[in-house]
Amino acid sequence: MSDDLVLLRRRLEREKLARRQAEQIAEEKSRAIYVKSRELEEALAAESRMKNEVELLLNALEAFTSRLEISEIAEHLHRFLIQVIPRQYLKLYLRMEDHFQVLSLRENTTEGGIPVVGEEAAPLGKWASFVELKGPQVIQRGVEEKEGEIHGLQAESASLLVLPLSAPGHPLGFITIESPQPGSFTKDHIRFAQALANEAAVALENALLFREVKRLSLTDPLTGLNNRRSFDHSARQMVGVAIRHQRPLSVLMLDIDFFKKVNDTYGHAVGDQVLTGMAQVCRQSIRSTDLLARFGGEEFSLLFPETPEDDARPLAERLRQAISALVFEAAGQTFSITASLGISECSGEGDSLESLLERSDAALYQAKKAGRNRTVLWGTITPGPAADYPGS
Amino acid sequence: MKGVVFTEFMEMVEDRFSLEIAERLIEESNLASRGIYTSVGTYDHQEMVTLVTNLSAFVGMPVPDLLHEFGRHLFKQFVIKFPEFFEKIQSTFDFLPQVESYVHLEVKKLYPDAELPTFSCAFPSPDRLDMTYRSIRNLPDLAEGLILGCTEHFGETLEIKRETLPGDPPGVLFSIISAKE
Repeated sequence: MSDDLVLLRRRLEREKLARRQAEQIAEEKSRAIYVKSRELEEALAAESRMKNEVELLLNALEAFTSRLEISEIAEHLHRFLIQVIPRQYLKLYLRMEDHFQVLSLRENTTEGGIPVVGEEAAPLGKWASFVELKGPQVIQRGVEEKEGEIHGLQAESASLLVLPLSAPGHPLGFITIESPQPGSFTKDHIRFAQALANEAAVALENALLFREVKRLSLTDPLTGLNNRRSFDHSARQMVGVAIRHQRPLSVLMLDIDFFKKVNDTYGHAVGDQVLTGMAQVCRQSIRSTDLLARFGGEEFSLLFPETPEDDARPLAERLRQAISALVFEAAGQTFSITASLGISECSGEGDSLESLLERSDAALYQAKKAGRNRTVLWGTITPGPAADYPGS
Repeated sequence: MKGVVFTEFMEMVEDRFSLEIAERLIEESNLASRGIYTSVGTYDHQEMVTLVTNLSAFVGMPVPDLLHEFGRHLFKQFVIKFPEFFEKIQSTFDFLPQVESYVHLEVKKLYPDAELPTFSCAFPSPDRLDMTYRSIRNLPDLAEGLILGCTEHFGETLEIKRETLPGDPPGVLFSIISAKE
């Protein structure tokens, strides 16, 4: 063999080994590139998920801001949540003074995706501690869940996500999301759901405040009854309906006899007790369709729909007797009170709430004049000169 | 040191001298790699020092001359291998400042473990480029060969002055001056 051939052979051998080495390096490189590309894919997917979530959150925020009804906010919350966490069952627990107001929503597959909303009051019970939750919490059935600890968890639910609902400064309640799959809440789900809950919390607080303001503007703070404004508003509608449909309707005015004397003798605090007791008796005596209000001072007004004067009378009498049966205690003494009542009936076309109230008032005046602690129907009084009755 | 430098060096030895010298060089240099180089690999730069020193003894050429020649060869190969670095580049003064700011950046993306020399550039005047070379390999002759290769590629005749700078590693300041017309 010539020397050149030997050299070439050696070189060839080296080349072969070098090629193998290069192949190995290429293999490692391409594997590294593959791993990197997978990482990039995942990062890209995560980013696009995040972008979707941001868009969803923005839409949610927009949707929330214009809502003042709690049920509407709950529906929106459900609508946006379902786009990220499918097949879930959502409950909203709003902390009231001594109970939870609970709204339940579930995807409704039969009615075009409109969620079913259920609303109920629930005792604070074991849920109460969730109100103080500082961050999201996942509970897996049979893992974190101790036997019987989770009330109301759906039979088919395997895991539960609890999200605090907190407005700046104070907790409002919490949200629970139930899923049929165990371990189905990913970190991203939880993060998104909590962000959504935070937006909802702001809207819910506004809605609660709105509801409270509305309630305050329509309620008498002492007795909790409707105030005159809210009575006028509802009564006007009811009178309108009665006239349009030619249905009977009666209005009753009630005034506590010698209430000034109660105040003068026992003080205003006792006077307030009398008013509160009165309100309670009235509330217990009326039917669910009747309207009751503290009209002002010691005067109460009632409206009985679908009720002619003659049928209103026994209602009024029962009420009068219940009032006189009340026993109050003050300064080591017991005392009771009486009331005078005047009733008038809607006369149909041309009649009005103002006129009804005026006539009831005239009947009430007659009751006072005739000796108090009695009920007078406007239809039974003979017209005479109007005069004030002394001593109330 | 990147494998491409070794494979190109061996190519040059074969072309410029002979296959026999190349084989002898590998045989007698006792290299850890046994002279099995691939352009995508990375090898101990000490092997390059051994190869150049031994070659110098075999062929009776001073080491700096061999490195100059290798630098010129390497530059030619870079132009062929990486034409994208030479797009829209018209001259040595265009190209050399790009080495640090662009070429090495791209090389780092491909080979994150590459230990590259630094070439910081300044233009004290329009006809003069000061390029400071610093490398833990400390191969200023190779750098000079590359600069020479660059001027040859652009068909320019430029004066290259060289001055050693203190430091660790020591730097070399190349002043590249275009001849006054």
